[in-house]
Amino acid sequence: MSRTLSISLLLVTLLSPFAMASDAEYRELLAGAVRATANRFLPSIVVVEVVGGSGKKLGEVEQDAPTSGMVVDAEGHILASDIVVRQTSASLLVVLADGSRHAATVVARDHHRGLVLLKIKTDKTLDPIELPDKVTVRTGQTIVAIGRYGVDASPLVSRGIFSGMDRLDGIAYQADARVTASFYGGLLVDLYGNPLGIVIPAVAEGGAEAETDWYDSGITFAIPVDVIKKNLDRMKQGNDIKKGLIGIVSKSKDPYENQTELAAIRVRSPAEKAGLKAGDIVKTVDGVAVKRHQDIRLLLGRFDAGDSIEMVVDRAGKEITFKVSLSESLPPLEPQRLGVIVTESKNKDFNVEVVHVLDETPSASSLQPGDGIAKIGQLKVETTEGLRRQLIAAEPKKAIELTVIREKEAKQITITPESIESGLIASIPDEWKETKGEWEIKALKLPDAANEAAVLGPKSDDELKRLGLLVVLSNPGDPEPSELLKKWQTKAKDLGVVVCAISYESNERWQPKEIEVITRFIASVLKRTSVDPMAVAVAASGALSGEKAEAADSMALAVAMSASRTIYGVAVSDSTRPPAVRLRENDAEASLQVLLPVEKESELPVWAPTLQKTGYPVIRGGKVDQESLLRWVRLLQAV
Amino acid sequence: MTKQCIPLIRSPFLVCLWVLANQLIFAGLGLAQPSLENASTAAQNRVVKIYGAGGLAGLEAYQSGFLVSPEGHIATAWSYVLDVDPTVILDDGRRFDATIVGFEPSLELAVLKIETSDLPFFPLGDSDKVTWGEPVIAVSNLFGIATGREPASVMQGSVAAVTNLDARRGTFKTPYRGKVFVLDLVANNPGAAGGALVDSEGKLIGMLGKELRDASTGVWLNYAIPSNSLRKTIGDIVAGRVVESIDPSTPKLDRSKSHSLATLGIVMVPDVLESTPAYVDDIEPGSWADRGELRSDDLVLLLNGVRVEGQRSLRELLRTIDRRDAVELTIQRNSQILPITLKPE
Repeated sequence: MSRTLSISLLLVTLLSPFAMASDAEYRELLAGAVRATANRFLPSIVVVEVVGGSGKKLGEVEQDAPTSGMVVDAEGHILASDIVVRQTSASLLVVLADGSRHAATVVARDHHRGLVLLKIKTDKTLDPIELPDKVTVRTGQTIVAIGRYGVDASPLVSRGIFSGMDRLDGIAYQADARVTASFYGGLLVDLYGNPLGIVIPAVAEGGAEAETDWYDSGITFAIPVDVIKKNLDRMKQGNDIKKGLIGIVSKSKDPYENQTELAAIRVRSPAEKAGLKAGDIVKTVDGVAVKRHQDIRLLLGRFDAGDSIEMVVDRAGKEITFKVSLSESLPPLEPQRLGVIVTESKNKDFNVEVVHVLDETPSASSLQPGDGIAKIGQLKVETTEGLRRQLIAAEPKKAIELTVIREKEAKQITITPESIESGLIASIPDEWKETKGEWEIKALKLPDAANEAAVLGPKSDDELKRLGLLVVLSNPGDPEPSELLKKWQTKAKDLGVVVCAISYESNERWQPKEIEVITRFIASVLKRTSVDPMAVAVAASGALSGEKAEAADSMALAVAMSASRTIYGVAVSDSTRPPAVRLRENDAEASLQVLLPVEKESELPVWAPTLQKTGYPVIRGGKVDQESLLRWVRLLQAV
Repeated sequence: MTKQCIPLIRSPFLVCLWVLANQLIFAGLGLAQPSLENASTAAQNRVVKIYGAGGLAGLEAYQSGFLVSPEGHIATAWSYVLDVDPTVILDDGRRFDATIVGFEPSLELAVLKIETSDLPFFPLGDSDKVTWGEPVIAVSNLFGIATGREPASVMQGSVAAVTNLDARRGTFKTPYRGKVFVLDLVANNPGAAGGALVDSEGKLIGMLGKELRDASTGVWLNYAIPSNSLRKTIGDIVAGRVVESIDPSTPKLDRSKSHSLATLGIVMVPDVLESTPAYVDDIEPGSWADRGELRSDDLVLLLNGVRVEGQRSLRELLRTIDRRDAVELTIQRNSQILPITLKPE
């Protein structure tokens, strides 16, 4: 049955005023239409086999799992999911529709979208898919996923509807067809025979541990074929594709807030080169109007390194157009600090006020409590968070000019900030030392979490403000959390840091799924005590000098890397085994500090430079004891 | 009628209105005949819940089955649930002690019998016509949702692929090696094993299998064993005939009788990894491999059509081949894929 005929029949039967199709007939007709559509593309669909692979499983999926691919030209180029090249293997084979096997070489990889372009040499006449320049698709439309499966490369087909576009930061379509792992690299088409996308393994941010974990779930992601078409020639020439980075830092805490002002521009980034400045309000990206930072993120997500985009910004009431050429990497952050504790105060001349000036910091001799920080350079300082982000993204060793309001008079003060990496701040403000009231240890229980936990904190915290929170993960063999907290009792109260001890759920070890549980415990503590949300750190016993690294140290690192918007500091042993989590770039909007109990640079572990290159300040704490650890936690809120 | 409708297709908006209007009219008249409902109800009447042993170590003590004779013969999955004589609950809530009258482990099949008569049952339909894309209904007691007298759960989907189960050795947990229907619905949940897979007309086309991971990809499979693979054995058991045991697995031969790397004259690269690729290091002069022109650095991909994941799987596969028989290899030499036959003299 031809495709058009089957669809017509389907529609005719459904629409006929005299003979309503029964649902069974409807299903048969739809199945006919699905088969007709799939048959049209199946000659182009191949199996990609991984031979002699070595490496870890990707979630449940075997590292050498055969998946699908598609022929995209007569010269033997095959597009597939990059799952087939994530592990080293002896060989990659392409099994064509006729069952013949061909050795494939890797031509180029699209790191941004998880695709790989392979090439086979063959005398056979290939049946390539014609990729369209533009895809038109509407949510709710019936779609078909087409792959091949098994040693015999049997057709593998699943049907569903189109669920939405602009997923995964703007790169992917979503559909509800249930696809098993063999579909990765397969084709998504509509019932009219238009190619839509190529299926990739992916989960939404924070959705699951491995990118393959959502197989068969009815959540399928696919890369739009028009984007692939655009990049195909570049890839055929052997050029890898990488995500395009710009280097802007948003001002709003919440990317969904209605505003698009920039808090800072990353040093030596494309944004800086193009001439964007802190304080600019973004109006359009690539011609599309934006209202929130999330809009900007989605629009930028579509572009690759090397692409140029046009941005219109509002600078002091004037609209200016910039052309920004996106790059594949940004110079890593080297977070800086002034050494002050600030608060927001609604005032005629300023919105951010200095509450404490910390000893032995760049501000010690020049700023005073009560100072209002009105401007940094030419830019008005409106929020403490905006000021912090400016410092996090600031250029090292470069003096900045502050406009400070002191006793109603404006003063220009020049300060060269110091790197957060330069060391621990020596002491907390005197006012913070007098923690009144009684502190107690209380068990903490969360619904649906089997973990034991306890919190050491003030009985009533009416008078206490801006405390710190240290989450201590326990090791197998440790006493139970409420017992463990006893040794923290004196110091925690003295330094004003709430300590929460959490033990693993079961089986005498930490599991990756407990990351989410730990963030829930933190949220629950934040709700009931006056902890400054910036002064939250996670640690394990190895963080203290003289203690050895254990499982909890790796877990603490994993939690901190994964929950970047909840945790701002992590303290672990320098001999911690790095956990198997994806290493994200540190960013100015949620920056994390790492504290290690080492003195000299030569004592840093082998993984420390990797962290530094991705923008994480690694602080050498020297001899770290309870007191210096807790002080560091409380001072995470310093700017 | 057809002609009248064609212009409508061009106008989606009108189509919508038209469909809406139709639905309103026909809903009002009650003329629609939902045969899918009939198929579902008929299938539910023929699917039973089976309770037996288990319940230990997180294993469920229940599964599904379906009636294959009016006298109470029930086909189900052969599993630990049947370690004791099980209890069967029909869709109307009636409870029976069942006896196991026959089983065939190579098909993952068991047949139970309950003492009653005049029950609705499934004639075993012809599943050879089923191809990928076939709309199906899966009926089972998944997750033990329907514990009491309520009928089993009905789910819909399609056959995604018709293929053989990947017979990778060592990791596979079923002896079944035949054709399966891979499903696009998540059908093989705890308790679903032994459930019925029926087509849109309600004909039985397969039995839902036990929970199983795909050997090649490692993920959970959703599949059913086609009724044609089961028909003869069920028929034999119901008729009280002796069941011919089918052993689809290729047995390992005695070491002195089977092939090995040595009989072929192949020396592999040192096996140091968990899965060392089957790279040829050296060839014994004058051996089968030498005559077949196998060379150093060749990578063995297939042996007699079966995928070779690494050296271990190659050695195990060779154990199943008589050392007097020729061996077909598919190898990769640089970027070429070549067939090579190794034979005596």
